[in-house]
Amino acid sequence: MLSDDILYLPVRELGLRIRKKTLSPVVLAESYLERSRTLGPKFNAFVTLTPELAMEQARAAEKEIHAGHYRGPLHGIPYAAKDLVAVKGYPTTWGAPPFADRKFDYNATVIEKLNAAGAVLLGKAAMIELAGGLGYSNGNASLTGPARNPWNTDCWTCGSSSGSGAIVSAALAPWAIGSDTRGSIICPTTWCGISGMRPSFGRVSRYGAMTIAWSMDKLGPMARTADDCGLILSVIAGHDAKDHDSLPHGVAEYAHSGPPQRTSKGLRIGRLTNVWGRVEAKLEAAIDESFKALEKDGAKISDAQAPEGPFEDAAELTILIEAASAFQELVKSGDCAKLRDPLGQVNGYSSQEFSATDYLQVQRVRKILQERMDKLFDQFDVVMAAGSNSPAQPLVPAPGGRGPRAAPSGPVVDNSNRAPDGISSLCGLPALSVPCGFSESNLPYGVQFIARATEDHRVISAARRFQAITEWHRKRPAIG
Amino acid sequence: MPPGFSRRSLAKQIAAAALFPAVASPQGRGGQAPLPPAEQADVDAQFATVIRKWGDRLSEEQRARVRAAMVRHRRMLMRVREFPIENSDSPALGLRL
Repeated sequence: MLSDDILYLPVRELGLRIRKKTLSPVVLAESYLERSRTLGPKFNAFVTLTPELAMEQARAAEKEIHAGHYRGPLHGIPYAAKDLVAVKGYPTTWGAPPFADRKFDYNATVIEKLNAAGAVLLGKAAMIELAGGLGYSNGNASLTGPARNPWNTDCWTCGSSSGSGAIVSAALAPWAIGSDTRGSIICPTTWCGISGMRPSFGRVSRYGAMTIAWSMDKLGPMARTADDCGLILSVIAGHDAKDHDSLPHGVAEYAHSGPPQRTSKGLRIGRLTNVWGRVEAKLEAAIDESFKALEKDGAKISDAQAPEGPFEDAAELTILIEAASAFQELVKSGDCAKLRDPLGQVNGYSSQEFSATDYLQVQRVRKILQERMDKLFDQFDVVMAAGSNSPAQPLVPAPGGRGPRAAPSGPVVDNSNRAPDGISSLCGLPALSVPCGFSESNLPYGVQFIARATEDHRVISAARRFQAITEWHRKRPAIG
Repeated sequence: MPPGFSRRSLAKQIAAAALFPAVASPQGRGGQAPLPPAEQADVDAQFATVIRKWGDRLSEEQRARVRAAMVRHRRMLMRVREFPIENSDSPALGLRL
């Protein structure tokens, strides 16, 4: 069993050691698997472990590397995949009781790409049922119950990529695939104190991944550092004719650069002042310090205003209406009654009553909002805001004794302003959240970078620079 | 996503009152003005349709949840409809050839 110091290394460092043959992919996979077996249940983070597949892939990687055939930065690197991504022959439950026993006979494109890169799949990460596609009320809305936050197991991880967040935070794997329709990578990333990225819409193929909303779903990496997110994105990005919304050849691919920029000089950063509203003082101070660090590093910081418009409503309606179609059979069959969450059990019925005119109205407004948001990036390379308006929230026993749920209490937060994930998700913008401090209860805060659509390199570059001048991403939870 | 109503959130419902007050209770935002009569009539008609189609599957509690969701959806639609658009403003849809 390798030490925590090894298991918490970033993907880049693990890859360098594997390439130099000072670290065995077999030993690495065995160590993460052992940790996942022994510590994993504490966090309720995996739905399924795939030890046979993992060891087969790890042995193959080791053999190839020793024979001089090194495939690239993920060769021999273990990972977990959110359980909405199809892996041939293994359960893909979508986190939902109606699909608890379902298996696909093919791999999702993202899995095929990772197989070709020589990556090692450790298992399928727990998630909120249907990734919240029919609505949910709390963290208990999952086939496997609520994932628990490694920083405090009495707290939730946020969702819907709940298991992915816990897995990376607890070093059960060095990185995981998450999915984000409206915040499902950014929020768990923030609450779990890791680095996670929602790529531009269309950059990563969703073929073989569960659909919530075709025009908003994205897959992306959750990892130790922004640099790792870039490395992983360079492997999983690319055009795929099987995904109707895949960006075209020449645009979809992502080439990750080598070393980070040496300073932030020339970087124009907008501080979003009209999102989230009032947050707790210590979070506000952490965000202030983040800006100061980047300014000291040479960045030009200015206030930025997200444009006016019904971004949140348009995002929510788009999801509701597209999900009503995506899960139509589940609703019509009545199997939605098997979902864990009382809201998810019935929300599909109400959403069936939206009209085609409603949908088109939302999409006509969406196009204008998208254009307005795009103009903001004439002034800024990236805009920044807190990753979430609070740290992780506590879990308490749910009424009726069905297990923990998110506590109906928490910091007093003013939600009079908008959440940046509604704005950026509606517009398909890339975002990357990284740790930036801790609450009074030693729970992580995060700050997110957002850029113009398809300019994923800007959020990665800015976040890498931030991590070059701060140490927050090196902090680990005390998980015994 | 924040819980509470539609999808996401958690934190939101979590901090229930906190993040998404509009969705924190089945009745919607506490103290909100009632829907305009024409909008309420539309919601009532749609709710009747849901009950006609699926009512045999729904308990009273679930029916109340459906109705609350429909009111919430309507408020969102009203805000989107207030946004000015022209006849030529096309939707963000993409058929690629």
